[in-house]
Amino acid sequence: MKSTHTAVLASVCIAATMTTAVLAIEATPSGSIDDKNVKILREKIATKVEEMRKKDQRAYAGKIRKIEDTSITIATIENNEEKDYLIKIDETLTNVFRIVGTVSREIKKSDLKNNDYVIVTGQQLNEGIEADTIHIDEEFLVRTGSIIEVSKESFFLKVVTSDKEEFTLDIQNSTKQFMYNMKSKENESTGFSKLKEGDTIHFVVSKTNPGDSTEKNRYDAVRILVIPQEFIVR
Amino acid sequence: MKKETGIAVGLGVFFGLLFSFVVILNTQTNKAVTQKKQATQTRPASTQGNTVARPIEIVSPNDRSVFDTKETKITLKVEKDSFIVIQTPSQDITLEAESETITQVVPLTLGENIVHISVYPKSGGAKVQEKQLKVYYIPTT
Repeated sequence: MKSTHTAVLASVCIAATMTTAVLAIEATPSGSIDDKNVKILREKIATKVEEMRKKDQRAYAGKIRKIEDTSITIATIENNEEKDYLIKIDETLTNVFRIVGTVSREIKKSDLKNNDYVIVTGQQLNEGIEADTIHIDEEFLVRTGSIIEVSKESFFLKVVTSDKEEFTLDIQNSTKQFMYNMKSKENESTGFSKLKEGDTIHFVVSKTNPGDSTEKNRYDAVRILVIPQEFIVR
Repeated sequence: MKKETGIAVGLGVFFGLLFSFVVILNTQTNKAVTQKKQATQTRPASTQGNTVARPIEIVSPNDRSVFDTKETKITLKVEKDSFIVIQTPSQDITLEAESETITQVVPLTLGENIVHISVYPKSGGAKVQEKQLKVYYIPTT
């Protein structure tokens, strides 16, 4: 009997709630509700689309091969193969910058030159990329290899990478030199005298500013991290 | 010979044969189990030389992703206890993989960031694995 009373009471409550809700909706002008809902829905869709666009945004980086009135062509490296992209520039919508250190300064489209290394953001369409931004940047090379020669007189290292490519790294005063300490498990500052053949070296060089040498694969080292061979054969 | 004696001898022979049959059957089963166990135990040793370290998997971010923040999280799947070097244009990060999936925050510099990942297997001397991705820090204007 008690449960029957409870059920009846619950049904009455639910019915009352639904009736109130319906009356509330009827009391409000339907046109304004619809407009408001449509506006909210539009904003939500726009936010979601913007989020998805940002999330999936890709950049295209490469050297400028050709400059035309409203477009440039860049050559990128994808899966070790060179691929050209046509970049469409809109005079009003595309912003062009030059990265200098930690800041980027806006420049004119006419400042772009062949062989500049540029990063392009924008939408890829069938005929090319509609550029939102173009940044001229410094091109770096980051690799790992083994030291095969240490020149104590000329302060250079010869390094061979796992894919058998050989590099000559000139160690300058500006080169940041680090070595992994097996005991402290930290990367610590080191000097040229501590480097030896057989050590593994992780290095960063600038392809844009390679140094004075014109020799192929010879660069001023920007930063090196050495892993002693004792660690490798641990 | 009495009839009872004959029955006793017959039963003796029958149970003797039955006992022998059970003993032989058990011996053969044990032998088979031992051989199977030995084979199982020796198998890993014979293929140990072919053991390949788990290849590096970059779970996130995707190559050529664009960020408008000064750092990003990199998630990798590597061999547990391996030694990892993550190189970026601004910093080298060294760490040991405490589990198969690791997440590391890396600083980003303005523009292109080449992230070069090298994994030294826990068994020293094996080949260092390398993978690289490029991500971009482009602040929204």
